[in-house]
Amino acid sequence: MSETPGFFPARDGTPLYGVYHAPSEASRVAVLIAPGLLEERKSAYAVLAGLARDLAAAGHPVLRFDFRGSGESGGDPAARRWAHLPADLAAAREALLRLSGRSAAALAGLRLGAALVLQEAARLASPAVVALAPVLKGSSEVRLWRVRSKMRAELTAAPAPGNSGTDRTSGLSPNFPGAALDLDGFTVAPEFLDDVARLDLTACSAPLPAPALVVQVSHRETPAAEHERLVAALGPMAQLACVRLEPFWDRVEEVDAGGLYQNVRRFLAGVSL
Amino acid sequence: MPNERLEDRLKAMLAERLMLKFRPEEIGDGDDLIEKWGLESVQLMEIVIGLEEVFGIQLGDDEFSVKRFRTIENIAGVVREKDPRAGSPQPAADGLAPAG
Repeated sequence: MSETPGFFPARDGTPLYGVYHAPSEASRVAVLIAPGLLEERKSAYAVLAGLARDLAAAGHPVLRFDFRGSGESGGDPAARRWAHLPADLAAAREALLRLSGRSAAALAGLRLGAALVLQEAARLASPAVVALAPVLKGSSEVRLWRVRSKMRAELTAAPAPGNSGTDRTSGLSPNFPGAALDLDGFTVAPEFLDDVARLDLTACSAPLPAPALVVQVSHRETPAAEHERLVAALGPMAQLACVRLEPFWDRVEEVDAGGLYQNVRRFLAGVSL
Repeated sequence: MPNERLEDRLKAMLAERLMLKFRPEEIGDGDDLIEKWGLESVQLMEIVIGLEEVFGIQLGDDEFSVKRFRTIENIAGVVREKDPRAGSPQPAADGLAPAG
């Protein structure tokens, strides 16, 4: 196996960074891995890199990449809109097809990346889709981002003179609709917040024309109702796997993602070239 | 245990949702979850989600502050404020539901 980092251009010329994992013996479907964004991209980096290595070891040519304005890729994060992401995904798919010599690629994604691959799978004629902990309702996600940003601001604000260290409520940053959001050091433009808030996989009604694996990653070993509804809406070729694992896209600590890898590997092993 | 205090149910919820490495009964009602147990802002968010999912508590966007989620006592206060019935002792998961 080999890992080759490099850049490929988005359709508007923005340089996108990716790492191509070439298997020793390419015997299975090519896989494109779309990461999450913002803090989640950073925290999940090791797990997604591990997934790419695991799949390459099983015979899949794999490309993992960064969206514009994220990680090593070019582009201004403040100028990024949701509408850019499908084009970046398509450019990454083209790069993978070129590198692997294949004519099709399965799409895998994490969180917002998972929502995107579900959205784009039919258009990109993906032979299979893997959605890892997809963001189901963008408005709920944006609400949580706002709350988290507020709590984080409270935790990091310097104690006001005379205050004890446990009641640090001064120094809150602006955190209201229409304002940019500071999410653990990642600034999210209000336009992008609006884009994400419009995402709604719970309203998904079009079955996918390809096998799909939705992976619920949480403390639960039983499926949550919203995941069951999503899988039902994706049609008879969709299946749900529940992996009991900490939300690694939110954690700094290393996690053992072996169970996650195994589920994805098994599913993709059944996808014909 | 025939009945569970709200505080104990909250500790159990925390331990399960956050996949804590320590037992819920080790957490004191007044322990600072951040200073003593090392919880981070994202884990406080998980508590918020848990309150909504498990206890059916709906919080307005202006009702969040770290102080309110910093100890089990404070979280219990939020729950009681939102749903006074939730503060009553509840049957354990394998116990009998109260009659009537």
